[in-house]
Amino acid sequence: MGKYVLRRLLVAIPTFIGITVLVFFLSYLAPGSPLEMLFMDSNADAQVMADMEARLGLDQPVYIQYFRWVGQLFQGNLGFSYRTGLPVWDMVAERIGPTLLITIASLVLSVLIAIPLGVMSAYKPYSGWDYFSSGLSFIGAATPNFFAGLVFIYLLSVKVNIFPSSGMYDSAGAHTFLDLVHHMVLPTLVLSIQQIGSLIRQTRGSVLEVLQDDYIRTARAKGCLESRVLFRHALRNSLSPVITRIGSMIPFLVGGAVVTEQLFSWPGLGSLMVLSINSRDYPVIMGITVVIAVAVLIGNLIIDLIYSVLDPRIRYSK
Amino acid sequence: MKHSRISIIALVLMLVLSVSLFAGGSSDKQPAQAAPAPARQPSKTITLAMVSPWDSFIPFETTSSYSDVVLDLMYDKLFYLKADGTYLPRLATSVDVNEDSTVLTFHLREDAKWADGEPVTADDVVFTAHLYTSPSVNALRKNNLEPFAGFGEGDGSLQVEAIDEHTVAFTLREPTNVDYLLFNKFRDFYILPQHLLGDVPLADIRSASYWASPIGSGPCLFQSQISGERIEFVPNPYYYQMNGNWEKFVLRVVPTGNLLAGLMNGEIDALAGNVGSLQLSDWDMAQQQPGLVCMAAPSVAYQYMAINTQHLSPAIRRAVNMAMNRQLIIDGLLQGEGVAAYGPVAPNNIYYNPEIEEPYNPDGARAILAEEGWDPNRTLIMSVPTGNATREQAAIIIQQNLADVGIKTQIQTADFATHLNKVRAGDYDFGFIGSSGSPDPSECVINFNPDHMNNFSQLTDYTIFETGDKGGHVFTFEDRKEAYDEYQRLIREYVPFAFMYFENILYAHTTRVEGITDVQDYTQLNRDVWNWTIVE
Repeated sequence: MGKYVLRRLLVAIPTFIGITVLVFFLSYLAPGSPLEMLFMDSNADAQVMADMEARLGLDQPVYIQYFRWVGQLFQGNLGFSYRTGLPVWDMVAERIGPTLLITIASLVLSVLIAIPLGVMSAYKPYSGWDYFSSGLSFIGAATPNFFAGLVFIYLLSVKVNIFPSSGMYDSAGAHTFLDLVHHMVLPTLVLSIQQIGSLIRQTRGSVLEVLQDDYIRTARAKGCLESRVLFRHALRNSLSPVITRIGSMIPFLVGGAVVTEQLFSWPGLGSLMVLSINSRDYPVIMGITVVIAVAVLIGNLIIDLIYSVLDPRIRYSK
Repeated sequence: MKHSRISIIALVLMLVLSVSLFAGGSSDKQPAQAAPAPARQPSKTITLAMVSPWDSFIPFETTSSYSDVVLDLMYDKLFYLKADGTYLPRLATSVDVNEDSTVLTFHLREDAKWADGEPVTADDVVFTAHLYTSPSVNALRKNNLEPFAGFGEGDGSLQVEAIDEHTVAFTLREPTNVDYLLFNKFRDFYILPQHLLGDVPLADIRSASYWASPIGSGPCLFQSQISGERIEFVPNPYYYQMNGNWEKFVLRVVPTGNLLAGLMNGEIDALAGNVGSLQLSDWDMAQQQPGLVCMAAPSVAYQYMAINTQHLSPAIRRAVNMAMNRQLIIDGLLQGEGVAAYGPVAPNNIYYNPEIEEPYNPDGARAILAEEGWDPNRTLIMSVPTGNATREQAAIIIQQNLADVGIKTQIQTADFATHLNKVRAGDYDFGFIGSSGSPDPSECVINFNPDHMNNFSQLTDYTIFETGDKGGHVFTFEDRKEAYDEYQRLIREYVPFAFMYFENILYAHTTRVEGITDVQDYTQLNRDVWNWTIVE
């Protein structure tokens, strides 16, 4: 197992470098420069702009800028934001918590809802359960985040007024945990909807397939409790593709968080990324890329490790 | 039997899931349901909403109007500028101009204090001016003080002098109109504390610990922030003109689409105006809400279409100007919430010259095009930035207007950074841009300077710029009016920009807050929050 982890980590290094090269050069290839956005004020002139270009190092060739950035990265320094002048690491660190909050909550919520529904759907195909969960699955998978967000805001925030429409806390008083959870509900729900839809379908298909296998029939013939057959034998053996799906949800969740955070003014990495792209704030774009890339690579590694626990046939050491 | 057991397990599981699904909501649900909308705000908190985050607390290091909302709350400025072109005392009670208009002398309030209780003095103003203009600092906003003597000659070279503790004098390079200076150069000049920043070496000024929790002399004292989401303030206990009764002030970032929802359910009390106003599609609904006060405030902000003068002759540009049906944009698109723009000076401004108006005349446009031998198969590029739905729709109307007279266009949309890059480089025929405008007619003049980076229309001729620039260096109303009349005539004649409309600010606040009146002044980067009071 140790060797496997080491091997995966070694594979992750060129992947990581590839991601940074791609994002860095693509950002620079995009038309528009951070200077254009910094100097919206008509009192500035070309000389002030040139001075700033030199100060930010933007007058250097792109590959020099990249290697300088990599050099900083090795020293644990992500540089300074062009837009705010603040250290990128500080900006990213401030935003990482809120993004993790809604993405992890959404992941947990999706799993808790989708897997039981998918299992029940597969256990009793074409029953009321199945129609209910399949319907939910289709609606979930077909509903874009922004649309679901608008509907929830209208219904639950404006009409019924039980959840706030934006932000992390009420303006009132201390920032309590309950207040935070209250504000998390709508963004988490919105972020979960599509994932729930696709995960129900994945679980249903996977469990349905396993339920046809001989060993299930054997287990039943031996008089195993039906709950044991379903949850111990069938579910466990059908989890591998489900886990793969959950693993692939991580980047989707981060991507979905961009829209959701914008919609609910949730101060996470997604909204910072949009702001940084719009202002061509390259150091912040790169900083967020690093964090997301590392998170996804680690997430994939964890998923791979879970495989081995679920399915001992997978021998990673070989 | 087995099946029913499974069903029971499943039901229990679903129940657990449902509980976990609404766990967050249920614990908070009760107070939220029990409390009607406005109760979400504590009795002494005001929440102001703008639509995009600030970027910096360092006043000389930003050009963002979102940051200016924050800075105006934290730091004091010399005057409170009004949209009608007048100004009220703020930190300065008055300004004197010497006989040859080369020295401005500001008289400061004697009771102004920093939030730590230290007095605000003329030395602070001198310190701030030197900080803005220091070559070592190389600030984004340093050119604001470019008209003053000593600018660019070294650290501390700017000729600004503390005459006494509460009097400060700025010496100009050449005679310059005071209104021009106040509205164009001092609009975002925020006074900084020498006693807290004076010992920081200039090269390290940006990383000073002061900026993490600034102590200013404005109405609000910084308490905390959630980056990109909110800043929380308490009143500056020493602010000299505090009339409000609020104990906490929260500035929040709320997407445009959520502003009305936030006002209706009591999450926010007031909008920031020019950087936080309702979208047109929400306006009717907002006006029907009993708990809201809505006002459509005229704005000096305008939208225009820059025309590449290197691609199109003056006659063709004039034809384009004539072909634009502005009233259709006002009535159809803005639902009447705006006025037609023919130039950068608003029709209600005392410097407005009606001669700039180019009535909608498609027949006249066709005649000019025929006379000029216009090739109807030529397709012109219309570069439109995303992010302003009304402007994007206006572009479509104008595209149709131009098609009606025989000018084919192709709309290319891009994000603002890309668009600005294209327009500055001259890689376009028509480029859509907006400006926050100014009550002072000099605001747009710089855009006609062929040497300036905002020479969007790629002019090579200095005539319009020099004519407009004269207005900043004459001193009576009549002389300025004459200069700006001619300037506006030239804009109509040469049409470097085809102006479109001034769009009203669709403003709303809850009835819980009183004292919000001069919303139109918000474009001048000031909000008199010290007069806002909470009605219980």
